[in-house]
Amino acid sequence: MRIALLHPTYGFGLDASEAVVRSLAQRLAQANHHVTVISSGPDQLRQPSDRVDVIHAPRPPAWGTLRFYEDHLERAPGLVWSLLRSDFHVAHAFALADAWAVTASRRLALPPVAFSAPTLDRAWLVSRHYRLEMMKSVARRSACLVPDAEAADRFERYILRRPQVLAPSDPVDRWEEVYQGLTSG
Amino acid sequence: MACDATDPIPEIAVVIPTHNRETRLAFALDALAEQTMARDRFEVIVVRSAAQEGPFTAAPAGLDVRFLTTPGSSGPTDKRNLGWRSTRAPLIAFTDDDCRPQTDWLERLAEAADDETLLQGRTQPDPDEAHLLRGLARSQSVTGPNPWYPACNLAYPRKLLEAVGGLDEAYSFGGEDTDLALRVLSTGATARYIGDAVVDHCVVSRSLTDALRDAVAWPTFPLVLSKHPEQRQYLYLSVFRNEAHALLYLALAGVALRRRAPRFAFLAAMPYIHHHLRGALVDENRSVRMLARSVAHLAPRLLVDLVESAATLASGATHRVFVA
Repeated sequence: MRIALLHPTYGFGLDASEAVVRSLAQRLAQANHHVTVISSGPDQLRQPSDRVDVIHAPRPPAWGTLRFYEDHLERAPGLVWSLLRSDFHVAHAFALADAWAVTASRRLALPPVAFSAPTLDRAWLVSRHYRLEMMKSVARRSACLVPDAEAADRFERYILRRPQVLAPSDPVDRWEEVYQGLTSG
Repeated sequence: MACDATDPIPEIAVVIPTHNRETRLAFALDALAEQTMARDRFEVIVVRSAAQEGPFTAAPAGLDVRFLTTPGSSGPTDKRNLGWRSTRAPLIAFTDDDCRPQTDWLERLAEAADDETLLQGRTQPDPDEAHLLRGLARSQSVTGPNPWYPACNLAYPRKLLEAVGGLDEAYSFGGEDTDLALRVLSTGATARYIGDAVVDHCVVSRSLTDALRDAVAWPTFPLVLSKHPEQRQYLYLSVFRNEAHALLYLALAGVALRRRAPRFAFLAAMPYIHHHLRGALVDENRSVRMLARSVAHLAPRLLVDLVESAATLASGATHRVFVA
């Protein structure tokens, strides 16, 4: 399966979610999937032993007003363009803006999306324009994944949809099940 | 779930009408679950309309909430009436589904309550969202006695609601809360502002389309002036809903006279422009960027003010009231 992992950065793993992406990418690659990370950061750390490709999605500078909108939103056009130029079976996003950009562009025949959602907190949900609406839109159009049952309860309470519980440390075959579910229907 | 005659009577009933804002309602219910007042002293009643489709939010753990439904697709007036009539609590507190009461809200209202006083609390933009209050975004702010009595933070003794028959269902949307308060006060009751009973109101992000939709969404506001002409003293210059509308008409007069008196046209437009830019000019964190953003928002705000004023004039004509 050709899998795109979408993360704004893929450098030296200082970001906890970046470390999750790197670990997942390596495990999927070892399970003989073709894995590509699409990032936009200044550092692209690809080690030959990873068997993971890295694509740099262009990202314009974020102008001032965008700071009141979702983080990494400015990378949406470059991300969609990178996906259009490739042929992935499934895309797995780790940032809300990435998940929203791909699901909102579904008419362009982009791959189905899995989204690893953060543990939702009210203050976080309301701290950006339209963040809550974007989260609901993504929940309707993608497979949302959370790391544990408590996160799932919160997600369901605020977004009114039950996500799937899938921890980063779960075996690869569980991730494969999610991806297979997306590609089959 | 109906109120049983054998159930203990709470001191306060909180009534929340809601429509298609389930996540915001969840935030409001979570805030009520954190009230310092003991849970057995108050009850919460949420009222939806039958036309609303799910999924619906559930009550938070440990907080008993009664969910009621009005028939068809009804507005906040019918919902509030159903809510207060379904409880036997002697004090009815109204708030909205986009508000979050602070933890001591009910305690402060209970302390101040008596049988002859309607209580108006303080409302402020939610501190977690206040930084988003710019451009076309809107919120609610009540920082002192407000003659329009918005229902986001009001409490009534039950007997006063019974005396006036509750909210007037002639109001579809807009003005029903003001009308209720004025009818209650006309019975000889008094109003009291409780600055410590605080509700945080969400900041609603709006596109231009959303703002234009809101501008025409208060068709029964002029009905308040028709039934309570004394409220006209609280309008700007006794005619305009707010200062922006008055300055808009001055600017339009300038536009109309621009060929004969171009200098007047320029001067007539300045107060309106200053009205919308003054926040950026006096803010302690003012900057060129903030001013540029305010200038960029001028055109959309002009359009919203035009539509809002035209809608107010039109609905005023329906109720034979001149208000712009």
